Amino acid sequence: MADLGVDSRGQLLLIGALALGLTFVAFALIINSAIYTENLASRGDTTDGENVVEYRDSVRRGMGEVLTFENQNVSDGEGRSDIRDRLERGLRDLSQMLTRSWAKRGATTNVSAIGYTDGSRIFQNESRAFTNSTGNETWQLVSSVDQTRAFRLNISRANTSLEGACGGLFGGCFTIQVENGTATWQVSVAKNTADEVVVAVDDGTGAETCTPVDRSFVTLDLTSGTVAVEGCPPLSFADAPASGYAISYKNGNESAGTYTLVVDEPSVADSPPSHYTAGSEPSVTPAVYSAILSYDYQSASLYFDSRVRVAPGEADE
Amino acid sequence: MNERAISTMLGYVLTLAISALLVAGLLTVGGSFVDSQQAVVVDSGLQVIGQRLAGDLATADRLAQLDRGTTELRLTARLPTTVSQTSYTIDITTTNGNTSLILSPQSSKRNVTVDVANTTAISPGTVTGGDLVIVYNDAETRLEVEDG
Repeated sequence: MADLGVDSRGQLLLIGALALGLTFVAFALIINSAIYTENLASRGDTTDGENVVEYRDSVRRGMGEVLTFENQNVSDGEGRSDIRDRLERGLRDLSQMLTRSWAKRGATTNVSAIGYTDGSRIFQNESRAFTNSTGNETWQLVSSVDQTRAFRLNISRANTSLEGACGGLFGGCFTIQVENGTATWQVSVAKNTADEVVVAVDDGTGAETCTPVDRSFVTLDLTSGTVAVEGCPPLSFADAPASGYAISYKNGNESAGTYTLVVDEPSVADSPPSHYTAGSEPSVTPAVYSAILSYDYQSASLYFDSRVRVAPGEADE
Repeated sequence: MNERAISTMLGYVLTLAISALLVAGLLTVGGSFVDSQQAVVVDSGLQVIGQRLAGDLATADRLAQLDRGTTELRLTARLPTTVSQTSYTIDITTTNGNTSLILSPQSSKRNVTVDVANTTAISPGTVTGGDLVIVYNDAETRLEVEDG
């Protein structure tokens, strides 16, 4: 019978417990890593990609508004350099406003113009027939156009002829014609027996009609393809000839209303044909068709410098 | 005294041997369990990092394509330098027009591959884990990833 006589027991258990403790510490580090990975996985987009897109959108829409406003407020006798001066001032104001608001969100921004495309704006502000100022009902608004934007008519139902009375759509009723010698695109407007305004489109392959509208004034937006704010799929300005086309009105006495359009052809405003200067409506003024802006955005994790073209009301917007 | 044919020495040796075996076995299993868990954590960590980098590359790609007029783009992708105490490298490779990221940890040979969906070309290369900068090369219309 051995008698140890001293109280030293369980050395192996002690060593085993020590080693187990070290294992637990190693586990703690691994679990820490796993928790951090989970946290990393649940984070959202820490870069500013969305902010840049939002900023670009603000720039485009803001400058679009400036362009539209300045084009609509051209005083008599104002030249193209005056319009550009006003645009530059508007753009500076826009840039400062955006810089201030984005500075609060931790980014510095800047926008400036690097180029403008001159054009002309043809419009009729007073509701009258779609004839020219000398009374011709079939006349050409402008020729050699490559691009058109913001082409809107506000048609008065009361002054639009019945389809039967004016000789049928595309026949004797009011028609807007866009043609360049090889292709023709036409939009015709008349009133049906249910007292609704009917708009029909012919892109050369046959006529298609939009849903008739029962309103006293119908807004027809050719470049965005809507009739009284409702989309009309056949009405697509992309079907119109692509370049070098002329815009004319046929049988303009069969309807009445107001309209406005901006084209990238500056000569019709610089030296207008006599029928524009004969009376006060319709008229043509110089306008800026589009602007190319250079913008940059800088934040802690992103620096971005790019260009954007602004042409409000263009067909593919 | 009812102890006959008993050797105290043998008794102690047996007890010690069995305890030692048990503890050694426990430690071996524990050790290999820690190793396998470490590998799992490194795998999932690299997977998450790879997806984040792929997301940042997709953002840079979208911005580069925004107006086709992008002249300069520098995007900082903040990634952790180590995953579970191991550093890692990222290999950007392109096969048949598909770009993929291969993340390799220093400690083991197990790689993690993450595919990137992109429209702009991305230059192949190798970078070490940590903050990276994605730069748009206007002249060659490609994105390049550099160490930040």
